[in-house]
Amino acid sequence: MEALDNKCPSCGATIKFSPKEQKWTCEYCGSKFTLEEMQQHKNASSKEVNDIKVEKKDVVLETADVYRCKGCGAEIIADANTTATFCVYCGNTAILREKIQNSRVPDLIIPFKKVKADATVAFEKLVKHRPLVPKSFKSKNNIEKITGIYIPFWAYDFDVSGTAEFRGTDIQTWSDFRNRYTKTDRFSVVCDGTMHYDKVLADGSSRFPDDLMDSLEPFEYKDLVVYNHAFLSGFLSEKYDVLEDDAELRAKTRTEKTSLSLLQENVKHQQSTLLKHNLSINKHHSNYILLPVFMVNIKYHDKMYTFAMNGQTGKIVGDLPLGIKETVFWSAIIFLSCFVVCILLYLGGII
Amino acid sequence: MKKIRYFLLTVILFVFCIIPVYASTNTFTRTEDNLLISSDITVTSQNLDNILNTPAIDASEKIYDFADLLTPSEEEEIYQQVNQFINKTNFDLAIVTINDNNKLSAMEYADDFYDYNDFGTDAEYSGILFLIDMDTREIYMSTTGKAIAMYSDSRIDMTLDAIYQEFSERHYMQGITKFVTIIENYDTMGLPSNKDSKYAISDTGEIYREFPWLIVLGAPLAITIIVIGIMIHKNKLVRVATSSREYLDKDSLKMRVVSDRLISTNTVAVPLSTSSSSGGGGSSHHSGSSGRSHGGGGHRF
Repeated sequence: MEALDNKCPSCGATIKFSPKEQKWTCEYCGSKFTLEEMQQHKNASSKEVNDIKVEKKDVVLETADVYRCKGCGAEIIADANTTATFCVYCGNTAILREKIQNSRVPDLIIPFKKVKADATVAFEKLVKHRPLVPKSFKSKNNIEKITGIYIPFWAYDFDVSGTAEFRGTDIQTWSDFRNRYTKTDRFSVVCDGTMHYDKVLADGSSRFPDDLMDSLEPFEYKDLVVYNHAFLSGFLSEKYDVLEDDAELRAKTRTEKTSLSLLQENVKHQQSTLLKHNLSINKHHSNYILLPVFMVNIKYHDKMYTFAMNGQTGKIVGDLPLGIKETVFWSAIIFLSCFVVCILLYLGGII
Repeated sequence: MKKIRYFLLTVILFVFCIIPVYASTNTFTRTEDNLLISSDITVTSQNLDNILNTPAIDASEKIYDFADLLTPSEEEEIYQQVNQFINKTNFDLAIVTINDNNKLSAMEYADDFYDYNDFGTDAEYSGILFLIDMDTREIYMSTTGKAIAMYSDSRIDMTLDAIYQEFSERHYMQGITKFVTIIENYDTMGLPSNKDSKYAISDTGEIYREFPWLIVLGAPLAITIIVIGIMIHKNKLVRVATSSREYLDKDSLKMRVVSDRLISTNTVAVPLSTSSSSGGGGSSHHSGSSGRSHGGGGHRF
C-alpha cells in the first residue's frame, strides 16, 4: 500500500500546512499556497483523490498495516485507525490513502491554528498559578512530546420537542407577636417547547478518553471548512472507531439535560423539580468532523501525564498531579496565617 | 414569794435572751403589732406569714450562721472580707446559713430574709444575700436593686458552678470566701456585656479571659481545608461534558408554560418562644413576697 504525501507544486518537496498562515508552506523553497492554488496541482488536495467517498463503511479492525514511504521507501507501520502519520526514518508526512478511502471521509475539518510552541506556552501558563503542582513537574523539560493530531468527532444536529412537568414550590414566612408562620404552596407546572441544536460533539475515537476530549470544548464553528486530505499534511490523524450510532447516546444525554433545564427556567417559582417529561430528541443530521488537538505528554517520576490542547482556541486541559511537599507547605502557610490572625483578634478582644 | 418568782422568771428570760447573742445570732421577736419591717412594704394577708416566719436580725452583723457551719474566728475573717466588699462595691452583702428552711424554697427564704430585714445600701436596697440552705442542700444567691443588673443570670450560674463543690465537701469557709472574691471581681469588671461568655473563673476565684482554643484552632483548620480543597479541585481540569447549551440554536428556541396550577397549600404556625433572659447580659427577675424585685440563682450541692 502506498502512502499519500503532499508535494510542493513548485519544487516537489513535501509541503506542510502552516497553522500560522493558514496556508501550505514549503520549507525548502519558501513557496506558499492556498487551498485553491494547491488543488490546481496533483497532490493530496486534488479533486480526484478527495472525491472518492465511501459512505458509512464501518471497518473497525485493529490490524497494523504496512505502508511504503514516498520519500525514502522505508516501511511505515500504522494501526488500523491512523490515517496520517510520519515516516520514522525521514520524517516525511504520510497520508495513508487507503485508510481514508476505505472508510467514510470526514465531512468537515477545523484546521490547526496553533503550533507546537503555543502548547509549551499554554502548559507553562497552566501550571504557573497552581501552587500544589510539584515544582519539578512545572519544568518544561518534562514535556516529552507534543503531537498535533486531528481527532475524529461526530457532530449531531438535534431537533428537540416535547413537554415536561415540574413541581414548583413557593415558601413564605412571616410572624406576628405570637407565632411564626410558614406557608408552602405547591404547583404543577407543565411546559412545552421545541429547539434545535447544531453539531453537538461526541468523541469518535476510543483511543482518547471521552472526558478529556469533552473538556477541550468549545470549538468555534466559524472556522469549519470542507474536509480536504491536504490539511492533514504535517499532522497525525485518526479515523473514527466509535460508530456514529454508538457515540450518539453521549450527545443525546447532554442535549436532553440541557433541554430540560431550559424548560425548567420557565417555571417561575422559588424552587422547582422535574417530575416527568416526554422529550423526543431526533437526529436531524450528523457530520463526521476532524478537530485539531495537540496532545502534550509530560513525563514525571516515570509516569506519563497526558494533556490536550485545543488546536484552534489554545485551551489546555488535563489533570495535574498533586505534590505532597507543596500541599503540606501551603496547608501550613494558610493554617499559620489564619492562626496568627485569630491570635491578634483574641488580643484585640474581638474573639 | 410572788416577787421572787417574778425575779426568777425575769432572770431566766434574760439568760435566754443573752445566750443567743454571743453564742450565735441575735434575733428579735416579731409580733403582729410590731413586725419590724421597712415602712415601704405593704403588709397583706398573703405575706404576713412570710414576715412572721422570717428571723428579725441586726442587719449590721452581715454573717448569720444559724446552721453553725463556721467557727467564730472564721466568722470574723469572713466579716472582714464582707465589709471590704461593701465598702468597695456599694452593694450590701449578707451571708446566711440555715439548717431548717420554713419557706417553700431557698429562693423565697433568701428574698424574705433580705426584704424583711434592713438590708440594702441605697433607695433601691441594692445588695446581695448568699444563703447556704442545709435543709434543701442548695446554695442560693439573691440580688436586689442595682445588683440585679450587675449579676446577670450567666454570672450567677458561673459563680455558683465555681463554688458549689466546696459546699459538697463541707469546706464552707473556703466556699464563702471564694464566693465573695468572685462577686467582687465581677463588680470590678463592670456591668455584664456580651463578652462575659469569654470569661472563666479560676480556682482562686479570679475571673480571666478564657483562651478560645476551639476558635483559634478550629477556624484556621476549617479555612485551610476549604482553601486546599479548592486548590486541589483546580488541579483537576478534565470533566465530562453535561451540557449542550453552547450548541443551542437560540433562534430556534420556542417555549411556553402550558399550565401552572396550585395543587396544595399549607400554613404552619409555630409559637414564638417568650424567654426574656438571654446570653451574657440578661438578668431575669422575680418579685418576692414583699413586692420587691429580686434576681438570683441557686445550685444544689
